[in-house]
Amino acid sequence: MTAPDLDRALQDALAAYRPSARVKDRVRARLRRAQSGVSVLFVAKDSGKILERLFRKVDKQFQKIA
Amino acid sequence: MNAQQKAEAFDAVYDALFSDVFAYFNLCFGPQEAEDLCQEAFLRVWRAIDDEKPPDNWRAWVFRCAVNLKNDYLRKAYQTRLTQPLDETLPDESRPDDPARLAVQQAFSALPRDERELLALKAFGFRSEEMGAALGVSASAARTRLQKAKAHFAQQLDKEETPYDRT
Repeated sequence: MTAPDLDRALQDALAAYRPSARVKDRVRARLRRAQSGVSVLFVAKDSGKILERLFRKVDKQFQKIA
Repeated sequence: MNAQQKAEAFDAVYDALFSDVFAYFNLCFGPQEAEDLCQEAFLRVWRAIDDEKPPDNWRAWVFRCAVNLKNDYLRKAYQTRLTQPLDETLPDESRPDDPARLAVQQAFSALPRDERELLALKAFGFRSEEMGAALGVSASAARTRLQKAKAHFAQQLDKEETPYDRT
């Protein structure tokens, strides 16, 4: 068998494993829900860092006063 | 990058790669796991778009992720032993198709998982260097394995007596 024929056979075989449009849309919808969760998580992570920096500054100020 | 630009960048990667990534996971583990693993792979894309230096080659980056996710899944499956035997994944035969194509699909599904995986990466346009990098082997090892997989696939096609031109 020549290479192009094997390549064509391979593409035919893979077609059976490809998703339907419905599957593609369903996963995209699941991703949208998850993405909003990721954003909240990142905001929370950033807020944590900001608060940590703020506490350190306040702590330094208190040490100076003491 | 504002929210709209980020969503557009994500959609471009998703539209270009979803079908290939899903097919890769589907031929490794079946359609249900393919949906879950695709979700995880594309969540990583979503996070990576935020990085200071997003990848230049999304295709190679996403498939490296996909191979890592597959390996993690296999490790977990081995530890819990809760999954079906992995080589029992078969293509969706409920779709209308012609007999020649079905015979080719049967020949492909009869191959071991690692050979199907290599042939799929080849069909998705990866060079042996990229395949080797994704699978954690050298380019020459990837080439050798690919040749073996191709020969095996050709044998299976002969066994199925597919009407493909062999000249």
